[in-house]
Amino acid sequence: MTAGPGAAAAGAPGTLLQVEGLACHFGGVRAVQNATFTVSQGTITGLIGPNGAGKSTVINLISGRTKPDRGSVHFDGKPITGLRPHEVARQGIVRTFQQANVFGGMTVLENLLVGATPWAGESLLAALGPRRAWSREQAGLLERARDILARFGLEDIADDYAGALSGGQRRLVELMRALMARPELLLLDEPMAGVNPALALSIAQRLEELRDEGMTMLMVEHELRLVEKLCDPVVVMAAGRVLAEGSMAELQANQEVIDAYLGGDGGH
Amino acid sequence: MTLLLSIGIFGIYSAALLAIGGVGFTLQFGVTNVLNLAFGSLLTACIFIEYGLTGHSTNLWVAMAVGAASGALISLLVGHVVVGAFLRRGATGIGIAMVTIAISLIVQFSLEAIQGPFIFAYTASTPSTFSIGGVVVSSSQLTVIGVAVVAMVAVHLLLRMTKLGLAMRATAADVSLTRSCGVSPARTRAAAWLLSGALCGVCGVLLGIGEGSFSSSTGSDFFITLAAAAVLGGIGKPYGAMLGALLIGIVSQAAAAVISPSYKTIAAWLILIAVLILRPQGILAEFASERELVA
Amino acid sequence: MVYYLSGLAILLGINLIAIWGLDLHFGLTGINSFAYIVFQAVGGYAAALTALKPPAAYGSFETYVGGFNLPFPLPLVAAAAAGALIAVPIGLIAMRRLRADYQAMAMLVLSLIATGLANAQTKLVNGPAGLALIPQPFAGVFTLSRDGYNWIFLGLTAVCCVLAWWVARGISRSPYGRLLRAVRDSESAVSALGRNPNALRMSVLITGGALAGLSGGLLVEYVTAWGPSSWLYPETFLFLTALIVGGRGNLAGGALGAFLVPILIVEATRHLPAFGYPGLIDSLDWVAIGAILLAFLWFRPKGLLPERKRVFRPAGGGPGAARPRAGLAGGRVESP
Repeated sequence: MTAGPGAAAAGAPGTLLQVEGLACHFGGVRAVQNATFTVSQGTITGLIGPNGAGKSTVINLISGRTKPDRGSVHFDGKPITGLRPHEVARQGIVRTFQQANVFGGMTVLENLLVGATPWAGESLLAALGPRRAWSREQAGLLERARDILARFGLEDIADDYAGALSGGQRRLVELMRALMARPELLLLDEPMAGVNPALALSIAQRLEELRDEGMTMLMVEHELRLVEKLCDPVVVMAAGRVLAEGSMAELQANQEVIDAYLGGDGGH
Repeated sequence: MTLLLSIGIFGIYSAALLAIGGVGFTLQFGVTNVLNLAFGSLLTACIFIEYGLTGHSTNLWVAMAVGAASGALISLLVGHVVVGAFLRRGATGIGIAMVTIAISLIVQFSLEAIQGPFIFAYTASTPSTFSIGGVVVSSSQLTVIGVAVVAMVAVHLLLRMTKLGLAMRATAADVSLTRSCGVSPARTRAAAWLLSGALCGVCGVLLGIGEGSFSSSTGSDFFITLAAAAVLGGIGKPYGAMLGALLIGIVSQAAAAVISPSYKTIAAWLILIAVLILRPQGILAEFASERELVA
Repeated sequence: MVYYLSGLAILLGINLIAIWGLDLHFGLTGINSFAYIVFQAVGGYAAALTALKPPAAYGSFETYVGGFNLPFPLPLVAAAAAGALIAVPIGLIAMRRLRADYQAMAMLVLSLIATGLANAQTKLVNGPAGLALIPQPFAGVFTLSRDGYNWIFLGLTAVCCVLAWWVARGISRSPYGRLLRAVRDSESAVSALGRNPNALRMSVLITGGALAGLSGGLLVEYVTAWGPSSWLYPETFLFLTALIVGGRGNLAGGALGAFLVPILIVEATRHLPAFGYPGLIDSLDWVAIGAILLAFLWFRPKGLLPERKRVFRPAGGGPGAARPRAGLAGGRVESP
């Protein structure tokens, strides 16, 4: 992929993710055109915009699910454009999906176990060998999984099938599973969609705690009140383009943004 | 030159048979979204029923009528009743595939049990032969080509000119559109099963007569070639099936002539595999096909 | 009678290995491995071609490649290896991201192409007539009666079964097995967590394929003959029905299915008083299998012994504690 103009690998200090000139199309439609923005370390960067703005597509482009036609993505200075999804994940970027994407046929604990970063004991060779080779490390992972469950107050559902849970609980399982990998960057695709306000607030608190502990997040979200509470800075997209990036206050003063999104028919 | 002519004529004859069955198969998939892997055994069943009713030397037109009627009925039973029951229960893709495979096992081996693994002679009233540019063609083969053309025109008129046809096209694109056509989705689906069954029956009977014989595995063997035509052209698209039938008919005939007769069917099957690997939506499908074939 | 029962036990063992292999593909990983019989076929041919002498040694009444006349256990090793290797081209098609029923159709077509090629290419494996006079392991070593040899072969089969059991069980309860089940549920989530779903699928296709190949090798060495009519496409559905009936995703279910379907139904009906023409009972067997498959898909798709929930011993229990938590009846307790 060709890098856009001025795409120095490192970018500004504290930049974790640098997206430059990304573009892609589906059929005849250009879903994303010339998307450029950065995500700084230790922030919850919001990604907002009206429906069809291309927000989820950008997440797919970063995570490798969709191949860009042009542009580049750099993570911690390294180019990751065009890598396949599992390769991107191995760099330390974990994403969640718009529809809560859990392993329905496995219990919550098993879901969390799969979330851990790839380890030696999960190979075919290890499976054919003695238990001892992997059981200790698995015990450690189990302990971490139970800790995360406790932190979210969800020990009760540890042994429930993930597929049998409510929508909101499944989102939480997906989030907890992502945390098992201790990612450097978390890409959240509408984590609060369809979640009741009380639960949404509690998830928001968890996210703030994680940010305070040093995790970086890029969050697509529609609920502007939540965005205002959680995200700084915020990237605004419309019709496949990035309009602006800044704090909510700056954006609310930005005419282009107001016209496209926050003004008249914008806001939800 | 005679070789080319021979490939051309017999290629069109094969294409005619493939088109009749292929359009039925693909139309039913387009409307009901069910990949009916029992289609081949239904082909055989129609031949057996027709043979059972009218004996081994029969009038072509009677045979086709009986075939169409029995095909329509069996298809409705299998598709709308049995498969439909599983669908209403919420069965998914692979579950339904297994259901249709189970049905095909039951039908094919029931036929084999009833009649034994024998091959039956099956002819229409003695055909006369013609010579076209040095190639000998029988009148029944020409009739098959004629029937196929008529059937394609009829399907075309049905789809373009009738309310039911519109409902079928709407359902194939997006089920929620069906009601706005004034026909209920259930009725549209039932009509699709009936129509594809009728075409299946006609195809089966003509296949049996064309080969001059049939056995309990005739339909299943032919089904894969037929599916190849449907998939190549774009599954769910009747015009695609016609195109696919033409291509496969000619290519497989050429393979038989140039390599060896046993490669006639293998060539078609290899085309099917190639399409499934390289471009599963087929030739005529748009880039983003309506029915998600690529998971 | 004893000879009959020992023969039945051998067939049960061979089917066990095959069905456990299919469970790895279909039950655990969710691959619609509907060309499974081809894995077994290839294994059978590999064993045959390795064990047979060159065609000339038999007066050239058959034509085939190979004929290395290698002794035990090499034909069986070749069989497993062949099953593993054929997984690669079959995997190319299995991993093409197609809708499930479409993929099933692709697999069926593969199966038919394999049969068509074996029939057409007579120089390869003697075409439709098939291979015969395949040497058996230990044949010349002991001078045994027919009954006695069966016991030796039963012992060999039992050893292979234990091997298959060890492989299948190891995979099933390991972190690797968990990844396979994850691929079954959501390939996209597996990718998002840093694992390559295609690599996982290929590895299990190869492993299950090796088991299928081994079962083919054993079968061929037992019946000493192998031709395309021994491995037609419906045979895959014999194994599949066994899995659906017995239960997927667990060894006990596979074993139960292996006993009920290929053995009880098929073998038992062999002993009904012969009625009708020869082969009628075989046809009726297939009708029965189709009907049973349909019935179970309707009434009990999870099978008689469904896959059980995996539950871990609660923290603080220590390695010695083994009591399952109350209220988790039916769960399978695993050590952390």
